Amino acid sequence: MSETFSPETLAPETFATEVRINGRAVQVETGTTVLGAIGVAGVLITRLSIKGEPRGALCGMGVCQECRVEIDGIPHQRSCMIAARTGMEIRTGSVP
Amino acid sequence: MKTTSRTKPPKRETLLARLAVVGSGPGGIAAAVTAAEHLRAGERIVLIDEQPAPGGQIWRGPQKSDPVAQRWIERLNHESIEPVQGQVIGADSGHTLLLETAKGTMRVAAETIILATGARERFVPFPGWTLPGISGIGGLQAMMKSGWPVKGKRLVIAGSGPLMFPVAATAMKFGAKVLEIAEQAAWWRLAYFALHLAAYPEKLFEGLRFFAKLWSIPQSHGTWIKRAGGTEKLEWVELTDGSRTRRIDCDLLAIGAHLVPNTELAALLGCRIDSAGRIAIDQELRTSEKKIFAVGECTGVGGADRALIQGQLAALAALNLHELFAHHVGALPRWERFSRLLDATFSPREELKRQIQGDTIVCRCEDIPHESLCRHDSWREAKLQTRCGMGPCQGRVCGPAAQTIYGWGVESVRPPILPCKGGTLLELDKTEMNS
Repeated sequence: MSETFSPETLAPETFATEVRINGRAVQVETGTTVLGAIGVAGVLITRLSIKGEPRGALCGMGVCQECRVEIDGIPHQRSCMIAARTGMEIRTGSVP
Repeated sequence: MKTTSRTKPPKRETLLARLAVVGSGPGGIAAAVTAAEHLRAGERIVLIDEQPAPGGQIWRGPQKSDPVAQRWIERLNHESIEPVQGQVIGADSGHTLLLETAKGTMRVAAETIILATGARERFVPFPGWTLPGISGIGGLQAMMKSGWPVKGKRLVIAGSGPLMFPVAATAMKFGAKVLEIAEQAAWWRLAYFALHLAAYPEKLFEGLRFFAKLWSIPQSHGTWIKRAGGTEKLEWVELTDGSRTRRIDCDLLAIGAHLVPNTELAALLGCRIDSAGRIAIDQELRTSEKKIFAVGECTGVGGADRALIQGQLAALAALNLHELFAHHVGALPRWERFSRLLDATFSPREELKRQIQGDTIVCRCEDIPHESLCRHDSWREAKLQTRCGMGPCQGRVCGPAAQTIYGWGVESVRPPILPCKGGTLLELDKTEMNS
């Protein structure tokens, strides 16, 4: 899962936003969603289900609730509906 | 505005408007723009959407390549249109909408409401469908357009409907390796569709453009997913045409068996939903509630062209501009026929419903497998016994799945219609939502 965008392949000024995914800094283009940033970090699993199964984003448009992650300490945020902002601390793979 | 409670709580912000439009996809945009251009001075239109930018799912992201979308979105810059970002989570019996926004709760009390709540994808569960790496077809499109990287990923698109082609084109543009586009509909259904497409030259042209872009990608029809597998994430998918099964190694799989209208808010407002699961409307785009109209995919899946015409017509009807309405209404029947053609061609085939196994999860929120659900006789009973459909998505994913597999009627909407904060729940209580 290392074959993601790297900042070097695109103009540096387009990477205006820096967030941390599970403690790791990731730079993304402005306008990218939190889900997009999670993908750029190479992470596919957004949450664990009630029985502990790994889950990833399904609907991409705010309906299915599978992409929920913790943002700045607040759990259950739909990562596909929230724009990434510099300084965000995002945690994936939390239990429900 | 009705004031029912005796000890009146301090009202949060209530926005009064001539017209509230819920959903800013093509239908909602057309309704808001048309109404704005005919309103009296000082009257207001509130355009509500969950997304920060207008466009809905189909016009998501910057619309540099689509001049039609661009023109419509530009026309939204009108002094009487007030966009509100938030989600409608309830309404009172007087049709005042309760919204949750980033700043807190808010009420919108409008003389007339136009619902343009769109559609979502229908997912028919198969073994392995909950693995990370599997997303909706439209879902993948939305994700790619919001920065989700697919570069170098091996993608299989297996589902139904014309949406698969633009998604394949976007995936190619962003550097994915599209291994196959598999359409579940049988060849004769597709042939019938193609034959009738002659009446829609604009769609035919669109189709040919995608054909030119996607000629190098293997395409199959009468082919559906048998199962998918992998540890922790998707590693392979098995496709079958009923006699021959093939296994394809892949990183991503886009699925979806056509679309289902979003009718939750309409149902909460008391509007009748027809037997095909669409908001029932009359020739004036009016729902069973006199002051509520509905346009676009929530009234039947028919695409942006239909939604644009419906949106304009609903605005004219809502403002009682009968002459203008009569002048434009002739454009609609053609797109109604197109909507029915889409449904007839791309509705899920019987075999799709039979891939599910006992341990296949149906309700992803509550992890309820098929074996726990199939013993029940109705959605209501299954809900009460298993908590199916009672998780955060409120049955939006498993509802249509259960409807497709078990043939259950999926009724009963209760506020809040989406998960919301505790404070919003208190507001909901104050407006006597359950009355």
